[in-house]
Amino acid sequence: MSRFLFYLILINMMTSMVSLTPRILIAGSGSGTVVSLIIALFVGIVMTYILVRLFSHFPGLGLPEILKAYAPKWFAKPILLFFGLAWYTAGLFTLIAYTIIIIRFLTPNMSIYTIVLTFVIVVTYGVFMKARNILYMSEIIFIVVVPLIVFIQLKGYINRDLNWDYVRIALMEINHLPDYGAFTSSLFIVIGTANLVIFNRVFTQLKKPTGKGMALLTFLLAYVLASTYFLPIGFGGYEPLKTTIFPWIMTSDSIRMKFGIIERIVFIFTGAFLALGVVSIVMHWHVSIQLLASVFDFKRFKWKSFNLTFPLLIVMFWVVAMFVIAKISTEGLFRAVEMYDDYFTPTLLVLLVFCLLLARKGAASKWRKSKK
Amino acid sequence: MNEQQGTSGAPEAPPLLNTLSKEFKPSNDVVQTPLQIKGECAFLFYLKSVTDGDKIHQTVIRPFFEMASEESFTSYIQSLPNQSEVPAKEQLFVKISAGSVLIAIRDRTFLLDVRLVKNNEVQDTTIEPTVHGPQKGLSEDIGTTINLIRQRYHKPSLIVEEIVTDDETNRTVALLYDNDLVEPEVLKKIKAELENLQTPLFQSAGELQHFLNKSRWTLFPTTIITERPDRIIFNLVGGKVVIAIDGSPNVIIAPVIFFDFMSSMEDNYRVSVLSGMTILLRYIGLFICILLPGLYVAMTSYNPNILRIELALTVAGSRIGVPYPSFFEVLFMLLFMELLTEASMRLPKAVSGTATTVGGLILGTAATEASLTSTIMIIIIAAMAISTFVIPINEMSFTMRVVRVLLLIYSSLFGMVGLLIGFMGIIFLMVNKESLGIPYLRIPWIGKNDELKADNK
Repeated sequence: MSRFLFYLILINMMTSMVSLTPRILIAGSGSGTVVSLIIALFVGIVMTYILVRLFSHFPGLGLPEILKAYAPKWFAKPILLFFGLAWYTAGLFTLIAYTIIIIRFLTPNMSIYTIVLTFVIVVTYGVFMKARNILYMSEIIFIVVVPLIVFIQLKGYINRDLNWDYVRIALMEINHLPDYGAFTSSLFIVIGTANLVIFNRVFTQLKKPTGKGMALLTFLLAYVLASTYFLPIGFGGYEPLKTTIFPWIMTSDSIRMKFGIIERIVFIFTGAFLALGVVSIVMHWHVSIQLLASVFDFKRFKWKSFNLTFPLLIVMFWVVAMFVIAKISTEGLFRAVEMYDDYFTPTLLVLLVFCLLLARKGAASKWRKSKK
Repeated sequence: MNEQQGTSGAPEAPPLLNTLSKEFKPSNDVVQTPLQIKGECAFLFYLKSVTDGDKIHQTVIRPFFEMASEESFTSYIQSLPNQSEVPAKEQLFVKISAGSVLIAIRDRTFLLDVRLVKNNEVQDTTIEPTVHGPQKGLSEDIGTTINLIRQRYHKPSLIVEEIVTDDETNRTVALLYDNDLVEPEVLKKIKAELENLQTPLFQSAGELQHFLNKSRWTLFPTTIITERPDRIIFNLVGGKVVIAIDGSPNVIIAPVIFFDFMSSMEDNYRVSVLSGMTILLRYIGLFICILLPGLYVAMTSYNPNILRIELALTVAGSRIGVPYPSFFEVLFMLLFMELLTEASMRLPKAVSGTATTVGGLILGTAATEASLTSTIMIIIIAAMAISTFVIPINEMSFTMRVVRVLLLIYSSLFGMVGLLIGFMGIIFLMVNKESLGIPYLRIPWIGKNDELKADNK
């Protein structure tokens, strides 16, 4: 398996580790999150396997090209539009979540618009990079950031304040039926592979998933899922944690570096995850803008032979983002993410697999026809 | 111009020579002379000022008078090592003015290279000095430069390809590459770039590099300019193309990636741990150089809470009495440091010492005593200035000076988050850059390059 595939999955996973997903998981802690985690892990791995397999039939093609070749237009356009919007929303949620984190924990005096403006130039540039370069960039950021995250995790697990009894209590809730909300939101963590809808353009030699690769991925996903849920509980307690909005930030703020120049680990933590968050936003919006551009290709909308579709789309992206960020409350964001995870993520996955299966069938019959 | 001697029975000069003399006419250093003995006859045409008179005398004039016949003289000339084909007229003008002599015997013409080069001494390495590496660099004469490279690289696959560019001076440009190792795509691109060069004049490697770079706004250099023969050989073995320019003691190496700029030739000459240590130092220097000013602004004006409390208080304490916000303080000191760097670079050596002393010592202490800046700021500026020069290739260290200012602006506007995201932006810029189709910055896992076969897209 290509290492870049890992980055797609892992960055998606780690970004949602800090944002609102842990809260959704912890909200369902009394009712069956543990079983949902296990099921989501299982489903996520199977989905990853299926998606990589399916995409490996179309080397170097993104979803727009696949659908263009094997599906009618009336079918392709709404699906691409839906996917584009879904990816935009995913990126938007990350953006809003990190904006809220910044204003709460780093610069409370700054205007919320200024914080969003911080992202505008860099993310816009990132979105317009070539898909291949986005992968290179994600690799660099990943490699720089992961040692920090491993360090923080290590610091967390060997900390004396970590109370394993709370973790045991949480584990005891295994005897409940799975919780749908917890299942879908942990599914969102696991399912970074779906980014292949555009990034498959780069993978001209996407091989079928290997056993070793899948085992490594399963291990990493299991670790991150378990850490996301159990470590905050170990620090914050089983009951009291239900009232916090960003359990992970609170957890990292419980860890202190006695001899460090930076004493509170939370700053390293937010910094590291902010970097991953920017990469994640860039990835999601790159996918989104490519999908949307394949739907609305304004051929005549030009200025000096320069097609304005992409600039128009990105301006719309930011205008909507500014508007939503100004309006939305944390609670609203929480509800929205919950809704997105409950309805959009499963629909999206099912639709994607369906499209690919259809296209594969189409490809097979076309191939047979050409053979005759 | 020597008019043709009117001795009786002397044959007319061939038409080609007449055209040539017409072309070069008013110039005083043109020589067109017939050689005559007992009915045997030959014509020479050359420019006195660029040819080696002794050599002409030794290899052409004397043998002519010693030889018995035109025939044997012709075959003698043909067998000379510096003889070459007579090219088309345009090229012939270039060759003659670069120091060739045209010999016409009856209806046959020959071109002999008898260049007289005065600037062919090998220069000391001054831009990238090393302790253990070769102490001599290249030469201003392209022949000597190629000789220096060839003498270090004994393989038949080393190709030297001369390209005469279209600029006003018809300067010789030579491409050197190892035919077995070079990537054909890259080579093709470089040749196309050189042939399409739309520039009236270029005189040095730096200038040519500037013209090879197509885009109008570039921050990062996409080719290395070097004067070190060992770096050239190292890169030739790596499959890169070397572009040498006549008259410039530096050559261009292309394509390059970011890590090339961070490597010194010294790294290869030392024990592994030692060179690992130096490389680590260099990268630490790089990060200090670009991040420190932004960090200072972010830490003092936006997020003093990030630092541990004692340190935060020390920093705040040292800023007591400084009458303006931290970003202005940094800009002010940065400006003076850049001025100092520029000044000491352009000044003659005798004066530059004074400039540094006055600037560094006196201005530094006085500025803190007048409480125009904090003492910590002085330390930061000094650390930054030193670490800028740790970057081995000059071009990159200059670029980093600009990057530093960009990051300073970004973190002055947006604080700590701004610094982080600005830094990511710089990474984005580098990752999205290409040097002749080769990605500029990526993690180079050995042996995994073909995993993502997207480079040729």
